[in-house]
Amino acid sequence: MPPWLILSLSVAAVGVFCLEWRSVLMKRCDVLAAHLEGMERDWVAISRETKDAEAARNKYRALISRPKRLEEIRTAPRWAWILGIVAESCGEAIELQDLHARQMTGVARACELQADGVAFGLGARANADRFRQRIEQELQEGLRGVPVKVGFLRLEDESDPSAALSTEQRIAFEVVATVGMKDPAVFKPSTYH
Amino acid sequence: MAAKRAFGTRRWIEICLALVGVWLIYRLFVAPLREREWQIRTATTDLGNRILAARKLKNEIQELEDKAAKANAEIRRSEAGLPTNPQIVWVPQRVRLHFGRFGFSQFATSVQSTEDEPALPGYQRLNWSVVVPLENVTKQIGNLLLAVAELEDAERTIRIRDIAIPRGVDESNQNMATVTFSTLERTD
Repeated sequence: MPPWLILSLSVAAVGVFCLEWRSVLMKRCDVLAAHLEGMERDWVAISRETKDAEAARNKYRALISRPKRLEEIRTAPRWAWILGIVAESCGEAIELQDLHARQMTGVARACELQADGVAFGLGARANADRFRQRIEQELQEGLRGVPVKVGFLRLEDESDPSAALSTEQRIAFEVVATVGMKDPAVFKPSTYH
Repeated sequence: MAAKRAFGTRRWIEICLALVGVWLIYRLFVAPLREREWQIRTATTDLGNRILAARKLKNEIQELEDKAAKANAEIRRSEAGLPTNPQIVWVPQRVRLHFGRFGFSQFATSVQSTEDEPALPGYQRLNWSVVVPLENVTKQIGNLLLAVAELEDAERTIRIRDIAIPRGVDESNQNMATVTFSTLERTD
């Protein structure tokens, strides 16, 4: 057989093989394309369902955490009971004249109370200090491990002239109680006496 | 000799032409289809992954939805004892009853502001103030302090924020004590 014929036949055989391969590939492509088309339909449907999925996920997560968060808020330490301690610590020798108390934000239990009043009777200064001590003691007992500080910002003979006529000793005081604050600004040396 | 060399050269040329022919047949008839097949396969894999992720997300959202429904039911159970009408309707009434027990009847309760509670979607914080006139501070302050102290215990929804009992009197010769507190109200 002449070599040119062998070559021609070889090329023809390769051509036939390629055509056959092409036919197989075309069928495979058609199958794959149909499969892809089906997947695209699925994708359109599923992507419509999960359109705002991220927002929904965040919303549901927030909803799920609500009972726990609510419970935290409801069971968070309260502070107003301190007012009851102040009221009960007054006794007969103490008269409160004004009072300001507030919850401090950011720290659990933290609050500050400031009260002006008058102590009278024999040993009025001692009475005022007993009042301070009682508050401090009650707070320390009720709030173990929480910093509590109770001190006077002012403790002096009352300057009211009408009161001066009386023989009874009257001492005006300003007492401050802080709870949950490590270094309360109100007790800085410039203000604390 | 020269004729033999020429024959050998011709043979090589024929072989090269045959190879070029084969390459051309491959490039023209097979290669584009192989490329297309590869593209479809890549697209299929990519889309398959996206569909898988979306299905996962859908399932996750379904689970979250179920859990959210349970959480909602839990909240409703915990709020079962509270009135269903708005707090503006019943909180002042309860505050009035509470303070009444301590001898205070003339006072005003009002909402000062409302704010969203970022950590608690579906709830808002109502800031209230109660203004209590005191005719005699030194006599009434103790009762007022006790009333405020017990208000938080009596009404678990209430959180006292501050209390101010000033020394000065107003035109009616009364000290106006102000108590501010907050409550959480469901909005959804």
